[in-house]
Amino acid sequence: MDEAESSLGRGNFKHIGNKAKRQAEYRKYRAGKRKDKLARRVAQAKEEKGADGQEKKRARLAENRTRTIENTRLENPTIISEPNSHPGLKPSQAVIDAQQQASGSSKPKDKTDDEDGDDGDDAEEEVDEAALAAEEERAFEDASAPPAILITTSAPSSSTSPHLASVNARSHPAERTRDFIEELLNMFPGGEYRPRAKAKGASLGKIAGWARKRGYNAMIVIGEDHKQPTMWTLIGLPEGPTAVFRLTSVRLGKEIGGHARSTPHSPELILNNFTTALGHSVGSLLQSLFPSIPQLEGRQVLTAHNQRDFIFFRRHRYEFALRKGEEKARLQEIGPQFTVKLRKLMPSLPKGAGGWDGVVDFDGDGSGAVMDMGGGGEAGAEAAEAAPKSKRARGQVEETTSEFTWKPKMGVSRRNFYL
Amino acid sequence: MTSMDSDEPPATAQVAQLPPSYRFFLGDAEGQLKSWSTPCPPLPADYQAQLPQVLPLSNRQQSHSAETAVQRMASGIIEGIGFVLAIARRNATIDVVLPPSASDDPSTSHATLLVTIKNDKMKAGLQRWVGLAVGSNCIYAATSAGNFTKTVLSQDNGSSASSSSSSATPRRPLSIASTHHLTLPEPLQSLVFHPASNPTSFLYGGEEIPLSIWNIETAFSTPPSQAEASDDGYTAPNGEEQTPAAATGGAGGENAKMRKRKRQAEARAKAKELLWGEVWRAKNLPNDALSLPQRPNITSIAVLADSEDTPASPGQASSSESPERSSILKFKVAVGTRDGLLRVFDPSSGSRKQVKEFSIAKSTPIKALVNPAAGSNEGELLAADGEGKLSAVDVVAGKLKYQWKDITGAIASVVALPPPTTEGLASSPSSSTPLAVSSSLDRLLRLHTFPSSSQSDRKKAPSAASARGQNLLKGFTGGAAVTAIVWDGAVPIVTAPEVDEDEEEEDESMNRGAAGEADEEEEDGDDDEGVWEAMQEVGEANGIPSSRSAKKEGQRRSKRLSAAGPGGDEEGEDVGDAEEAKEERAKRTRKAD
Repeated sequence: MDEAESSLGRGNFKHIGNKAKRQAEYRKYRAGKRKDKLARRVAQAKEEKGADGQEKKRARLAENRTRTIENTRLENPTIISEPNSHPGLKPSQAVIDAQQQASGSSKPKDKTDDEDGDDGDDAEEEVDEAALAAEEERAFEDASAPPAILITTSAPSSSTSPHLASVNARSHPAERTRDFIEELLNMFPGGEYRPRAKAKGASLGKIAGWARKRGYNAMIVIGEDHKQPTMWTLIGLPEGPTAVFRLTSVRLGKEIGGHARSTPHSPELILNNFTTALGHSVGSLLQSLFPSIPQLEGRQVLTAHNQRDFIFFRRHRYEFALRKGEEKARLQEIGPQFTVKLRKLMPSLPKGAGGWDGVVDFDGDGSGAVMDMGGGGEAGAEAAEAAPKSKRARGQVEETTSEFTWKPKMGVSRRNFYL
Repeated sequence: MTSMDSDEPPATAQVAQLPPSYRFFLGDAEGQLKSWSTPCPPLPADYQAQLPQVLPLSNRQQSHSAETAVQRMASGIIEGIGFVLAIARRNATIDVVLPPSASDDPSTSHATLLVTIKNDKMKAGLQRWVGLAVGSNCIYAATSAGNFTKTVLSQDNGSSASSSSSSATPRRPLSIASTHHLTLPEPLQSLVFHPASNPTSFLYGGEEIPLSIWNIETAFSTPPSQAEASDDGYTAPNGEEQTPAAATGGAGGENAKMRKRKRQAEARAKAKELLWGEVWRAKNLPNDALSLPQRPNITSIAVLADSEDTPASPGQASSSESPERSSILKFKVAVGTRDGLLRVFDPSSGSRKQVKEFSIAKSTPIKALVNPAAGSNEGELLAADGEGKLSAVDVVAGKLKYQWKDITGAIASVVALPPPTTEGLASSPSSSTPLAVSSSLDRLLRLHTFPSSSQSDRKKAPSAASARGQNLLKGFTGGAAVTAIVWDGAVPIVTAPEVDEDEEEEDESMNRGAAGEADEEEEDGDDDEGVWEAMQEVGEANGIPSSRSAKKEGQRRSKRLSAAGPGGDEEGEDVGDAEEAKEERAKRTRKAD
């Protein structure tokens, strides 16, 4: 092979001034190369069909790994888990050791809990069992109940439809955004849509504060630009992180050929390649949008696949069918499908949310104290009285620190990924 | 902590093998206490930062949750116990903890919980801890609601069931002897104690609250009676007391107006009075271009230690407190605002207005201001904002010097470190730069160089004056973000690389005992001589080099003798070894000639 190539020359024919001759020489060189390559590959195929062929092929493939961007990713010390869908960077040895230690130490803890739990007489045990069973059922219901999600849009711009009369009339979201929201309401079983007001509009932080008080578990905000949905903000509610994503490649279900119809069953979740600590934060935020126990009879699956810091969302319904004697899964896509990229992650609610005394008021009556979450009943009552007095409760300080902010220079190396 | 060997030799030999490193205690957002160490630069080529090691608290079950997130951490020395950490948590509790010493076996090291202080007035989650310090027998803490507490601790002779320790060497548990409260104006954004441990004064500020300096002793002493107070008048140094204009009219309506104006004037006068314990307060900012009141918008405070002793300025204030006040106020204060401005105040000059004001960050809040280590980086500050920018600020020149690169998440905590004390004469410049350690919300701990550009350096090597800080190391925190870092206080001792056989132990317990004074002495010497020591020796053993090293040896010897501690046996050995090493080096240079 090498001899043949050397006999062809180096492929550099710039020294030949005559165009026809130069072209002919180059053509000859290329043809020779092609011929050599074909001969080599035919010989290789013949060898691999013979004895030990499989092993030889495996060895060859293992040696000649294609260089991909995922392969050549820069070292990131915050990687906690290996990627699922492609071979990639593994967590460092120190992290693996720490994880093993943590899992090893968690086992003795469970034992001590059991020991502490054995108390009292038979009568008490019976009561405990019944209470435990009730608790378990409640826990199961809680885990299967879809979390309440408030869906809204970003503060509308007046340029949306400038010729209408009132400010609110001018501030409706565009058709594309409205369709996207409709599909999102199908996607998130607990979703509710509330339009955003322009006149007397409230900031996102304030809305998050109200939603938290009303008992919502998460909030989704669709941002719009040029009549297209372009931003997607996820806010985990009681305290939770605020994640701002850039939204691209939105395709609604009706635009996908051969799409399936969505049902209200809770989907199973597949989260691929969330490797770093930041990736785990985002992944757990996505998990909090869906019930932790899916309805398997619905046979729906939502995939959030992270690759090179872009997260691809797809929804499918699946069916197991026998094909050629093997049981295989067949997929049919339900819309919508979209791609997001994390722009900013803040560990707190957006600015303007203020403090919360832990009192949840589901109906918005002001009846309050339906469910105390760690604040304490007294504190709740006092706060409810004091709240109308002071606009900003004393001693509360806003933290607007960001855990991750995307900057254009992060993409320069093309090998550095954060999720 | 850093063990190069996989075997476990006996404790003393193990300590001797550990490379000199800085040790830190970390508090993270899930409430865990961890310890971490970094070796001194220059770092070995393939060095992988270690994961911080969890220090389980004795006497307490491990419960990691956001409720117990660490908000502040402070360190100090309590009489009779030693070096302790105070950990202020989100659920309105402060844990006073005795950390393990460096020589303990890392796999079984744990921290002993001495006492837990609860603040009943603080609303967990709504208010946060804003200042924390350890005094010689008490803990000072302040919340954002202006609730300042001094908790005096006492040692129990008998061990009670709740605070019994399980370690081999029984430590005396502490208990709360008394609690004293102060009510400060609220809401506060930042409260800083002047000497960081065992403080004598504190400073605070908030978005609507101007910078204020208090004296702790005065604040907790009993104020004189009300009548005396009103006569004396603890007035502001400028002594502005507005007397209401005399009423002129006689009609009922006018009287009401007059009364209202009088009330308002009295309120204004009262607001201008200093509170009991308050020593100095900054003036309110003037109205802006639209005649609207400007808020001070203070988000962070740092005290700039002035190395020169400024003589008491010809004070304008003639009240009886001026000698006291000027002795307390011999420092400058830098204040960072919500809009990215840095204001420098000089209380001892008698003016309540800022001396300097310049912009560091364009309209982003300056979340933290950290002083460099004592004796190095004079006139410089570390400033951190909420988006991941860590900058070095030149306060004297009034501008931002440079920023450290590639920090993704907001910086939660920064600690500035002095360079390691170098023994021997062949010290490379890289090992004598001051350092800084920062933790950010992107789960990374970073080690930076913080090169100081002193006046002498600027003259000798003008290019060095513009040296930027570099990132040396970044390490994963292992999960939750670290929200507070506290340095051990022990400056590691780095020996010259040629002298392998005579590696000295880290006399950490001794160093810590006299850390305040001794470090400063050494650092002053180092700063000036660092450049010289970087150069190769050409002269004889009896020339300048030996006298300088003898001076350093003398300092070290005095430091060790002054600090009472174990390891007295090794003193003679170390000195002898150092002398041997010096002789060997002198021989080598002579041979080279």
